[in-house]
Amino acid sequence: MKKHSSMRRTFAVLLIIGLVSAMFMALPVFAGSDGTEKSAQTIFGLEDLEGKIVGVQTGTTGDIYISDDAELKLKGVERYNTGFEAVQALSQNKIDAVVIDDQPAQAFVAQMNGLTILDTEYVKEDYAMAVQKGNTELLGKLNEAIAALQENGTLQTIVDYYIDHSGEGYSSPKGAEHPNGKLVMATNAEFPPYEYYDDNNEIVGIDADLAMAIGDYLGYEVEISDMKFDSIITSVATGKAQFGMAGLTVTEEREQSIDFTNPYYTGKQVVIVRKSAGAQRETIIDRFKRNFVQAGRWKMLLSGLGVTLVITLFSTLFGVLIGFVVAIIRSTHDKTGGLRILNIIAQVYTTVIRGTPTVVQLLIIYYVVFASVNIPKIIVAVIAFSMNSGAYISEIIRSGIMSIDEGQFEAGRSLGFNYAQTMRYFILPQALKNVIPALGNEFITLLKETSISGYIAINDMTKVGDVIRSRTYDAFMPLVTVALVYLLLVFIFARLWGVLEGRLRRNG
Amino acid sequence: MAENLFNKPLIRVENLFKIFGENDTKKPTVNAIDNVSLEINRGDVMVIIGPSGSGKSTFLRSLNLLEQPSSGHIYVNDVDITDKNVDIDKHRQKMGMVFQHFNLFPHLTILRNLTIGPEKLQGRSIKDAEREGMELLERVGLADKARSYPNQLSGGQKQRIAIVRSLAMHPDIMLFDEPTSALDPEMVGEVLEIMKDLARSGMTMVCVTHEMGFAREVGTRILFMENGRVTADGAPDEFFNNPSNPRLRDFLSKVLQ
Ligand SMILES: Nc1ncnc2c1ncn2[C@@H]1O[C@H](COP(=O)(O)OP(=O)(O)OP(=O)(O)O)[C@@H](O)[C@H]1O
Ligand SMILES: [Mg+2]
Repeated sequence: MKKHSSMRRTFAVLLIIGLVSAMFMALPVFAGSDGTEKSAQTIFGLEDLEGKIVGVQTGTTGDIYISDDAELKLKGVERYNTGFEAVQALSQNKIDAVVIDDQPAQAFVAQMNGLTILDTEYVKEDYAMAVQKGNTELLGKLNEAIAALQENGTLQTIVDYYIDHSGEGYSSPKGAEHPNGKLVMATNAEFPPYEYYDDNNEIVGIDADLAMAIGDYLGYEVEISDMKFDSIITSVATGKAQFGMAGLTVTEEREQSIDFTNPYYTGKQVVIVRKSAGAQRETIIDRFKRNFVQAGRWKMLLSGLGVTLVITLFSTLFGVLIGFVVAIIRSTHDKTGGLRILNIIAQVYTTVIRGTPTVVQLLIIYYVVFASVNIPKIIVAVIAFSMNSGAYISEIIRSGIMSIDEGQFEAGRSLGFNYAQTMRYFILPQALKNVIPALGNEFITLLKETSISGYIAINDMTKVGDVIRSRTYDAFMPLVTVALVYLLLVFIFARLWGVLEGRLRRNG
Repeated sequence: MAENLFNKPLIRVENLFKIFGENDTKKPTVNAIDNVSLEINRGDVMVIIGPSGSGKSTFLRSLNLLEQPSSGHIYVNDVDITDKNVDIDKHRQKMGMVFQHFNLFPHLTILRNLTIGPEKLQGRSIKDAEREGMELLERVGLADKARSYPNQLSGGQKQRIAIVRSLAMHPDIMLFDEPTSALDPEMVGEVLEIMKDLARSGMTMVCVTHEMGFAREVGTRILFMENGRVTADGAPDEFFNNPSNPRLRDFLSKVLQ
């Protein structure tokens, strides 16, 4: 009868957990199909661009092509100073699509969540260098250099490095001489991977490296001059710069003001659009797979769970030991007045631990106490959490000891048991039985508290959930899953603890 | 040797004082025991009476040092147990004590309450201790409760268990502090019967109690305490029939009516 009702309760709680998780899982699907329509993918091909607003970087080929393209029947074109601004506007729902170079497009989509590139490219184009009209001498030299560098593989090396991140970029050969003077290159360094500022604030990229290689080949020093994209053609046309190189597409319009070299690279203009965070196009199962099955990420989660459990179990074990010793020191002092020094130490310990945040204790133990000691971080965590829970457990046990009637103590002593024996046989067994519920709570608290282990770069369950989040750009699935695992752990533990409590209560 | 011992008092109390609050300047001091000297002989059944707060409990608890005397000496078998070098735990084994509120160990079975002392302190085997424990339970009519826990017993049953828990240690003397005061009236009798049996069997007993019938029937000596002093000490007959002390007369007239 009793067993039956408790089983029913277990079933009910499991049902609730199941429903809550189902609700969580279903949530984005509902959200995708109503309300936040803006974030769902609605553009799957060029024909879907009708009536939409498209963003471009001012003056780029994308800008030129799209502005003249009546076939698309766009609602409008928004121009941005940089490709990044355009893409950001797209992800903030301000515009519907961005037309941009294929290579930077791939870089943006990889970095930002919820964006995708349409399968059909918008336009294919040839990139060439621009020189002043009529400067046939330079034009000839540049064409010769491009041909030579294409021939000897230097160009391919540079492209591989910036696009596939393989091999090494271009660097001038030792002792390269530039007897022919200086060439100024006009560019717009906001256009990865062609030209952009690297972490050292230097302009790098395919164009920048190729210009360097051409300079080395022809015996010129190349000076890169960064300017607005709009100004490149003008500054080449007016002779301020000897050549322009910025992923410039060969167009008839441009050929009226400058001359183009032979193309050194064929690029594509593509369309970036928003996809929803997984609604419509991605089923829950796909999403689950993407988060946990892909790249074997479930193994990460499992090992995170293991780490969490190891830290919690060992910390509880040592925490109980510490708590026991401290509680006995303190209550012995309270009862007999002995152990003065130890009591002061114990009092300072519990005051400090209970008066400071656990995460600060963890950081202090890792970065201060064990600063110069090389021990595994997981041991550091166990030490920190043991000390932390020890303080709380000691207070729990102490209050348990204090709750035992003085008469129990007198009965033990009057029979001839000494202080330690009386504690051991009569006081502690009763005290522990009284504090079993509080100790269970402390275990649950500790289990959840270990989630701060990530602060010292331990891959516990919480940290792993966060790592998965940063890899899949999906906050929801990994974090909610982690939350549910904690919930389940706490639930199972509470059940087991309840059984233990019930069993103890039955005997007296 | 044994003959020699037998002639000596079992307990000799010399100039005993107990002052509460002597180390605490914030509280007033209380002279709970004020210069008590007396002897307790083997086989004595001493009954201590007196008004509330007169120091009866304090005196009784001093005898096994549950209360540390402020000064004075207590000799048990000629050994001064107030001496710091004396192993008081050894002496307490031989001085059973029964409390007003029983103080059974609630986490142990009734039988275990009886056997844990003999087993842990006197090195008796569990089997041996349990056999004797069962005998004692039978003697007080509670053998069927051996496997029960204290909270399953009535007050009177608990107190009977508390008495045999002490007896299991084979004490030389039994100290009782108002053993029937916390009991419902219908249960007083069963506990007093056990105590009377014990007295008749020759056990040395010191009992603080208001049960004058018990005192008259089995008491060999009555002590009257007032303000920490023993102001009357005599055999029951003269004590009850011809009390000289006016305050004792007053006290008796109140408790006897
Ligand atoms: N632990 C203590 N601290 C301070 N004073 C105490 C303490 N125990 C007893 N006293 C005081 O000592 C005096 C004697 O107390 P005691 O308990 O021995 O009296 P009693 O004769 O047993 O009284 P009752 O019949 O009420 O049990 C009382 O004034 C009491 O208040
Ligand atoms: Mg009293």
